[in-house]
Amino acid sequence: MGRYIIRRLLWTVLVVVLVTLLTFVIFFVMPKGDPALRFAGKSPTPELIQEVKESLGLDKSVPEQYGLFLERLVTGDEYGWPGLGKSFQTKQAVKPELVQRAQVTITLIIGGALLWLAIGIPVGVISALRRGSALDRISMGTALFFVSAPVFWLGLLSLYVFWKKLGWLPGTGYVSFGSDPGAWFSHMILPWMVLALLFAAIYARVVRGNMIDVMTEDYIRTARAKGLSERRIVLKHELRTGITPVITLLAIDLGVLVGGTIVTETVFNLQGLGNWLLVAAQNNDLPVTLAVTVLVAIAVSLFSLIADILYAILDPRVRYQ
Amino acid sequence: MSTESPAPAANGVEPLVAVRNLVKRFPITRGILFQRQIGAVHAVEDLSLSIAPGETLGLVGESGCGKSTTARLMARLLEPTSGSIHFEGEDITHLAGRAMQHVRRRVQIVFQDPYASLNPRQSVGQIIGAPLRIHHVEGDRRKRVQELMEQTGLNPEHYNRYPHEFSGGQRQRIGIARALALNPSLIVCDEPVSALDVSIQAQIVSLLTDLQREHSLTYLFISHDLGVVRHVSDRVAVMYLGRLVELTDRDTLYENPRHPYTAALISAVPHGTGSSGRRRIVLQGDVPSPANPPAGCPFHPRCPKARIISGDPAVVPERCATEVPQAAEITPGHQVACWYPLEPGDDLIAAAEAMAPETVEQAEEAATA
Amino acid sequence: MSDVLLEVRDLRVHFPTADGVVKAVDGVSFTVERGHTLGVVGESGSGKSITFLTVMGLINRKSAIVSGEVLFEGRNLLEATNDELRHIRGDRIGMIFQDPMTSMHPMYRVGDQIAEAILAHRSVSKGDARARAVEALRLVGIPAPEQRARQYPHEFSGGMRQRAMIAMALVLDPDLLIADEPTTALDVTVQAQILEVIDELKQRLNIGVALISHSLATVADVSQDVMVMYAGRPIEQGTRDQVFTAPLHPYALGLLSSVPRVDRRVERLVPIEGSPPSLIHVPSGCAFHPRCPYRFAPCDTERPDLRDRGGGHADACHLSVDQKAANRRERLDMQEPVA
Repeated sequence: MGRYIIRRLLWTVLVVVLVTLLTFVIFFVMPKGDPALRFAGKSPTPELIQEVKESLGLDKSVPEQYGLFLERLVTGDEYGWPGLGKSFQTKQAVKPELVQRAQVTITLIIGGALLWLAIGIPVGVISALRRGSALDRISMGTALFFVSAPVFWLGLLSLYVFWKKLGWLPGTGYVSFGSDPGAWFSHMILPWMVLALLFAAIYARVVRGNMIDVMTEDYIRTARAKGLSERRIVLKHELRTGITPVITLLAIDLGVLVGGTIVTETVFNLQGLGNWLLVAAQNNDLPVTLAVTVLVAIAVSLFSLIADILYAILDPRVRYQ
Repeated sequence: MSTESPAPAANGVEPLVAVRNLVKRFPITRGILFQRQIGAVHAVEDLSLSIAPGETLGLVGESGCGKSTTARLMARLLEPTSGSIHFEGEDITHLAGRAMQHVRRRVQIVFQDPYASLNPRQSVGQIIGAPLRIHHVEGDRRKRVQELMEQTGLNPEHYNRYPHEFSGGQRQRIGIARALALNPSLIVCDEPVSALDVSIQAQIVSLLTDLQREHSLTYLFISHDLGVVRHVSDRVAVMYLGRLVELTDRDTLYENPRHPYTAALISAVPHGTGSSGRRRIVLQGDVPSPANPPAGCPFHPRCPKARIISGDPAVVPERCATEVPQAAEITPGHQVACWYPLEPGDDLIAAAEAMAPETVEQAEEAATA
Repeated sequence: MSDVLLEVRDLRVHFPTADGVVKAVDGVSFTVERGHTLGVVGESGSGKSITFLTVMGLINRKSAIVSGEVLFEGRNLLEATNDELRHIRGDRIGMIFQDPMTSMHPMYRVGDQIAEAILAHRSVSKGDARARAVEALRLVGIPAPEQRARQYPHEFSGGMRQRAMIAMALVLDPDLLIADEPTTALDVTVQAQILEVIDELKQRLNIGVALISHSLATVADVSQDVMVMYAGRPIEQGTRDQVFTAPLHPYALGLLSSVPRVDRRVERLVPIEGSPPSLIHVPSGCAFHPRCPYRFAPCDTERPDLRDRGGGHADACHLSVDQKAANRRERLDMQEPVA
């Protein structure tokens, strides 16, 4: 087990380094033209371009540039750790805003994930247990609806209903938990719901499929032949194998969502990473785009590391491979 | 012709296929970041045997004994780690390209699972005709395929049907027809009836023996079913943990086995005669892992005869535990790889029973240490 | 004295499907006695497994139409509630299955899985249940049972897993053990071990055993009573010696003369023609008639009943006993070894 974790950990470090290399190549080496010009943004002046060149070491060789990029990332720069530089357009350091926006996004996806697990898993399990029943068909029909429904439409519709028409909720934007927990919750509940409904629908279908597979396994028949109660068979024998694959799914989804909740954040006016990425892309603000890309890559690697370790704890067969 | 002459077959005629000192090891790798080899599965170890033209050589053994690997080596689906394979007098051990194409036409395989070995999206005609297409055989392919279907007991009118429309037995007939398409000389039958219902097995076995007579085919017939092997084979080879332990003509093997493992294996098979009071030799423990074969004779941790020699259920003769016995002729045409082959009067049943549970445990530890 | 543990009377299990009714079991009667092994032989689709899954209450009652009687210790299990059945399963009747590789939960320790069976039926502490699980592993001949109990199924070999399954099935001293193809997935020398363990425990614990197998030979070696099934019905029943030395039904005779043997070589196998029938479109009359070399006038219209031909040896066939004896001589003479 310890060996397995160490091996996965070393692999993760290697993957993260490779990802930074790949990102570097994509941003600095591959595109045609002067990188300094691209990093300077929409309205470059000769002075700004010179500043960019010096700041990113663009007059040095490419391996040295990457070395500088990696060194700043690992050891930090004048704006702190990790060293992500500054936006040459807004003249702001990337890191403080990244931290602030990451809080918003992580609040959104963690809350959303808890909600979609709380909805998706029970719906999937019950649908599998009552396969073919009206309940199953209604759940899966609803799931199909939410899988196909565009997030922006769902978001705008919910805002219209709960904010504009019913007036139950205070509208868009983000209020930090520290300043007003109640307002924080009432501002987040709709984004959570909208994000969660899509994923809950996916998870319900996956869990239902897994559970149906597990229910026909020989060891479930054995459990029944032992005279266990149906309740115990479902809760202890079927759920264990039926839900374990969800961990991997969740890890990938969480990692990708770190930079991927663009639509939800835009609809609900949440100043998160996705929203930032969108603005940065529109303004050609490469340092910001680069920072978010690296962050997402690291997040995906870390989440899959956690998932693999959890999986090994839950499934003894994995540990010995 | 290679400079090294292939091993002669049993009856002195030049063998159709001969393997000599064949070894196949699959590497086991492990490592934190980069994989390095830490061991090997000893699938086939130092195997020498030959098959005469028109002969059926039965190959029996339990899981992990290397019989399927041997089949794949002989059909050159795998490349041996060392040793040589001669086919029709030619060294094909490392043959490739066009020369190998020629050998491929002459050696065919019939697989165990007729459900998995047929492409469900191809019609029967396409499946059986595929070898003709691949090897660019000229002539009326449809006619040839229908001829093959007739020979294998399929209705030629079912040319355009798909595998799922056939029963298990019929699907195995399709597999056999496909193997026959290029007029091979050697057919490797890898557990061809194991997946079939009892009443169907006899149909397929009879078909294979009829086809052998009509087309003067040579079979390597691999099975864990000792009854089927006795029925179809001229000679039978027994393998254990990658090594040949005994090889002789079928009646001698079944009636007068000289290797303790062969004796135990045959005795373990239920006879189905309903005769009460027959006692079988029940070997203790499991077959050790081929990734970690015991030192010396691979069978020594479970061998009852070794206990007869030592006179103590917990002890085996030193030679058994340290030196690997080579297959040697003890009478003409009868090879046995054992330091102490069975003699009349050896009571293996009593010896097997004397191996008390504690010794079984020791045997297992010795095997897995 | 005869001590009947299980008596099944005219059991029928039909599954309605979109294509028609699958008559998986269609009129099966037999008894299992204490201290005896009943061997049940049949090919895939003969209904042998469904029969015993029904006895155990392991078929989905909603999707099947079940009739007849399954009398176990004087109660009709077909009328028992799910909860009553649950208390019989694992406690009074143990069951083991074909593939020991997939029959245990891969994520729980072997000892815990056995202890779980105890805890489901007895109010004992977890520690006591674990200790009893270790004892059960010892009983079935697993070396170092204390350590083995803490291992996971994938750390066991096939033979050891099947032993552990037997330990799980017998840990509560049931009266009846149902073994559904217990050796089919195992190596020959391991098969012999498992059959011996079952036979020895049957005697030591004085239980009844129902051994289901597609292999005549396996059944012949360890059973006292034999039932041969075809297309959902028993076609021959009797003692082991009756069925194997003097088979009556052409299907049983065909099976015996089509299986190659290790103890002697036969010149030519006599295969049974054709394939087992579909259970939706079971042939009219005798279900075996399309494959039967001896069929005559009534075979394709009248279904023969299972009738006692003397000494409890019964078969379901229109042929006269004399004809069958003649067929047997002809067939089994062909089986004599050729010099």
